[in-house]
Amino acid sequence: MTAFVGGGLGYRRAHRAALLGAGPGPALLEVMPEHFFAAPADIDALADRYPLVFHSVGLSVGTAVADVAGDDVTRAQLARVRDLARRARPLYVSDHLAFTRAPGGIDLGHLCPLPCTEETYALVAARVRSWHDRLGVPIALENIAHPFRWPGDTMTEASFFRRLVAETGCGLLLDVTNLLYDARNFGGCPAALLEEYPLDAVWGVHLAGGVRGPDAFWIDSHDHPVDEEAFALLERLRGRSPIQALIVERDSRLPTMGELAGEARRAAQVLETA
Amino acid sequence: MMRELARLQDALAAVVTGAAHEADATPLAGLSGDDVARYARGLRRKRWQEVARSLPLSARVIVGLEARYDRWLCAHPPVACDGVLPPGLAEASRALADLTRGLGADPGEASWAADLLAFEVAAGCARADGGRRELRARHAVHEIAAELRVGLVPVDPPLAPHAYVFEGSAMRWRRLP
Repeated sequence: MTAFVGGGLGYRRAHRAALLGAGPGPALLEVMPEHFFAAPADIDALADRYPLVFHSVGLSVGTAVADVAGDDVTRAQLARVRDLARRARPLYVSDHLAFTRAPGGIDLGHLCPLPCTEETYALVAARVRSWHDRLGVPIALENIAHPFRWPGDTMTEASFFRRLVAETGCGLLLDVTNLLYDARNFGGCPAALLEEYPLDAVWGVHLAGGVRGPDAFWIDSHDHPVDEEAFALLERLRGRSPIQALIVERDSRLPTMGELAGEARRAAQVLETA
Repeated sequence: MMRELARLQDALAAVVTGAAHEADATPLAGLSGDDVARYARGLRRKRWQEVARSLPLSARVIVGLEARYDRWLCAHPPVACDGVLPPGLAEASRALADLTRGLGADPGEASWAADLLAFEVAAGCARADGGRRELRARHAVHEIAAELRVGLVPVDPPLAPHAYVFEGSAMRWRRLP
């Protein structure tokens, strides 16, 4: 198991020159493999300079099709991710506990929660094992910010994850901000909710900042600095989780690379402070 | 095995993408309509943001483009397909023919709006996948784009047909008779 590498950033092309320039960069990078499907060699300079973790958004682990690896798109993308992983050697490959494509072929284009049922669990567990065999890299899944809850859930997401990490050996990519917004949107104490997750299987942490919508619903929009309450929750992980990578995510209203790296360093210090 | 989950996923996808007439929404009976509507709005907004990020000039100066795309999206639910283009460019390519046709037929839009949209899609796709794209335009779109980049908005530029070839980050053009 890799020790804690430090605070890193989600790679965005706008920061490429700064990341590869002479100045100091973050401790590691999280890259979306989809960004390199068209030009795989573009990842080499990043892999030469930084430890990497892969974070995919399109593998759609929960699409209910019979093939154990997933639908046609998933299988094609897995082959590309495998090739990229061979050249860039990421610490792990992650995606979300969600689906982005329906079995009938409609592409949602974004994450949709899965009902937490035995049927879903069997599908996801088998798929995680299949992906691990295909990719040859450790697999982690992330908790999403739920836009809604399925009424037929027979277990909590936290208990789904506890079982999944125990039975498949995969890791949890814990998005602290998603968890915080779930608590705000659906009720409950964020710290208590955090304690329900398998903290001894947290390989990676995501932090971001979002917005409160006009209907008072918090949206994980990745366009603001990290929510201060997320920093406070992060303290609860100190010394309790085998975290390898702590990633600050920002998709729009991008500040400089240096500013984001500063946020990542601050977050890493929260975990490292004795 | 998985039949119930598949039914749920197909029903939800159909409802939130506007393809509900093709599916049975009964499995969603327990879901809050407000939650599903908010989620559907979020999906559409996210798709537009990805498209807009890929087409910065068009998104900025073609005032009705977002509403036009939104109407188009409701009538054309996205279909899963494999590819290497970023999602915004892939989606812009999917919508391009209908959007340019609509822009070209709308007297309220700038005469060069459709050309600019096609220009940005072709250039962006070539840059993203290194492939070759060709475009015939009624205007000198490279000049219009250059003016837009420095904050100028061309007013009634003369017709000046051009042929463009995009390969990777390179662009060549020639004036057509």
